[in-house]
Amino acid sequence: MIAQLSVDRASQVLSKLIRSGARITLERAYMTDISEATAKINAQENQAEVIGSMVDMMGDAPFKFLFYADAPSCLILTDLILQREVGLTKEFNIYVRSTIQEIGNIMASAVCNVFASDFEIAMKPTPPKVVHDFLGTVFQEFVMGTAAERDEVMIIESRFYIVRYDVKCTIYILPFPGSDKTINYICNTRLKGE
Amino acid sequence: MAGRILIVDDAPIIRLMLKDILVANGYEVVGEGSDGNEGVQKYKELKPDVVTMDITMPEKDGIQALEEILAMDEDAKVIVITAIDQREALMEAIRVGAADYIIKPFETDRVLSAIRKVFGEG
Amino acid sequence: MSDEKILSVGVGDIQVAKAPIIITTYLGSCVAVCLYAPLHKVGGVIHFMLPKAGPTHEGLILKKEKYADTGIPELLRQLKNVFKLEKDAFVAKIFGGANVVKSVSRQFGQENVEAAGEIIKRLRMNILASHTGGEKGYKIMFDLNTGKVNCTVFGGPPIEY
Repeated sequence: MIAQLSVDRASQVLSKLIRSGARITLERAYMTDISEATAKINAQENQAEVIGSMVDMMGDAPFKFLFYADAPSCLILTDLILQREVGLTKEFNIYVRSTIQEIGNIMASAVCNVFASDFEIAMKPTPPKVVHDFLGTVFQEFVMGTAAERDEVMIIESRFYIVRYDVKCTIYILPFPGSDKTINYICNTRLKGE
Repeated sequence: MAGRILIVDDAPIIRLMLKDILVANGYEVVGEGSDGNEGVQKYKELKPDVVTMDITMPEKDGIQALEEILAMDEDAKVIVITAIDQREALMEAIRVGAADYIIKPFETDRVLSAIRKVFGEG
Repeated sequence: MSDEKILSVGVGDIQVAKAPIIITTYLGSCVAVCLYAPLHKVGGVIHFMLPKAGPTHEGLILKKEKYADTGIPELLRQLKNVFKLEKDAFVAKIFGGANVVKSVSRQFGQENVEAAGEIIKRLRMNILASHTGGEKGYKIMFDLNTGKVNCTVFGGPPIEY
């Protein structure tokens, strides 16, 4: 339930940010072994160069958030966010990195908002970290902290597709160890009306 | 006379977006800062009419920078800009003395209405 | 290159295989140690993330492949189990350990590289080649037919080791 609400809210802010509809093409929450999850990502052939924005959300139920898009999509997103003609941005400059940084920041905050307003779980973001690298490298740096504490983790994964511009982006939400228990407890308590 | 505005945000894209909106509507962007420390420093140097201040920044966050600017100049007009749509952070900013706030992602109209309100324009 | 020939290694993982398999992985602060027995055309890769094993903050014990000090011996144990070869049959190559996400806290990449070097040395094994450090990710493809590792640092050309 939280995964669905979070992804819906993230999709809404993304659409608002780029002033274009972003369709959710995949949405799932699952437990996975970190070695298997990273091996699957690493197995992807002709792996894309991506720019990813990682945000840690700290508070009662801390989680990590990753937003990434492949290189050509990042250039298009920059033009969209600046409301310029698509195709004008051609090189990976500070504005392209910053676009991904801010999209990650704003989407992560939207997810936080779900926790805060719908479940009264207080959260606060740390400044985003932007990484421009292989997808496999970005993903493993993202899971590193959690992988140091657990072999199996819960991951919420969602893909967005901006139809008009053929742009694909992905988000991952990774609860810190213990957060899943906090979230379950709070949800169960609220659902029972206590 | 054009209003003089200092933009403080760690995201270059947000600084560019705000600058585009403000310059297109007749305001003068006198400087930019990428964190709270720079924001306070540039306020001292440039003495702008209005500051737009992101809350979540590295080194020093926007609330701390806001406090320091108001300690230097109690008449300073600072509009906080945040992606966090949370009452707590915004209430803290208002309590400290922010003149107004804007939530990201922002629309041009919202930016301009906040700026005009702070300048006392209609 | 057909999919059947490629074996992907994840974080905290070991893969052992024989020619004509190519073992591949991507690295950030993690380090990959590639062991190859040239006379037998067999080998393995460990992709570890931390230098030293120990309980987590919650007191959990995680899989030994995540750490250099328990994982590298585990790689040798698996190679012995599967191919009946002792460590003297193998040579080592080390990759990764970059500082990709800059942070003021620990430099895990550097610690991992140092740990890999120390453990291989302690085992009295030969380090034939290595490419470590920097601030960008690594893609490595370990060809068990030749023992060569094709290593690409993000933004750079592929180099064969």
